Amino acid sequence: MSDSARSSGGERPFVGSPVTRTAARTLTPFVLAYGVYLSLFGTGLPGGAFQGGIVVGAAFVLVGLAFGFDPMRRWIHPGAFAACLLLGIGTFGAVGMGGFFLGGAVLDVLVYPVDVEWIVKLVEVAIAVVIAVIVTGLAIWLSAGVGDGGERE
Amino acid sequence: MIWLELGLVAFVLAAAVLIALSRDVVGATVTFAAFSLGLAVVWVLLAAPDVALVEAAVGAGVMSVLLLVAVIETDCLQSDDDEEGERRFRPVNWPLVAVLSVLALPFGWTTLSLPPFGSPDAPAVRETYPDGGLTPYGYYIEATLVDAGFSNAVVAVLVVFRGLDTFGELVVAFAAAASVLVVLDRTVIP
Repeated sequence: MSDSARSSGGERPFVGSPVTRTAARTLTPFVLAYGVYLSLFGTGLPGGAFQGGIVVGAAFVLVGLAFGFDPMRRWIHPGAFAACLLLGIGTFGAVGMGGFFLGGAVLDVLVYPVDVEWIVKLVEVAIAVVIAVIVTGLAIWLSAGVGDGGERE
Repeated sequence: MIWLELGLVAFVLAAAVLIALSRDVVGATVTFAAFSLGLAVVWVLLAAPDVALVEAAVGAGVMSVLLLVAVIETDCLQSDDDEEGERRFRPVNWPLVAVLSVLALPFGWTTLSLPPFGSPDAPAVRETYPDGGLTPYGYYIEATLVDAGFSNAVVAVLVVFRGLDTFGELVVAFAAAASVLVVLDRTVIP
């Protein structure tokens, strides 16, 4: 499959529809806010990092579905994906090692001198970032097919 | 209420059969989204909002988009064989149904031996064993409020008490994303 065939994704039948675009424009802020809410307040209510991250990722996928995955791939720097992934896992790992250096076991968050809920919220945000990036990345990468095709932005 | 639940189960079952038998790939994908949404409502009725959120977002949202992307990328939109283009459904594969029944019947039989839904005596929601010891349920409900200080026991177990499992889960997800990148031969680190 050639790249020209693939990069014509912007003209796919379901991409240009005004209905999809308007729906995506209207819904995305609410979906994003709901995802952030789920990740931050999952400590006290149903929800949590995995749910919140997936909802945030779904918001990005919705935008990609409405406006085309190819423009989206050009907007988002590929390094941003790797940076977010490593940042999320690194934050969780750092919090875990912090418990060790504060005198507890590795990943023991109860030894921190602040309220556990804040540490848990930090970890939740880290998890949500990783999940959101993976969900968004899967859709964006898969829609591009195999190979970079030499188009490195 | 029971009619709502029965109707939902009937809807989910009908959607599942339609997905399996439909020749129209895009139609089956959209039906799959409806199937997941019905299942999500079933989870809500079973008092599992966490699972319902994931089912709705992943099953109905992201999975359908990934399936659509796969359909478009593999160019199997015109996969219908033209010689029997009139028929909208595949013939039922009875040997496969027999094999799956061998799997499904024991599972279905097992559900009959479960305690009734919402039963306060169910082993999964008892706080103590008959001999007085704390069950995992009792221990974590207790420990969540005392040690963690917030109310969602699922999050407390995930991050506070079983952090290693969650961290491993996250690393597995990271490895999966890296594998996808390797298989697709893409570079994300410039």
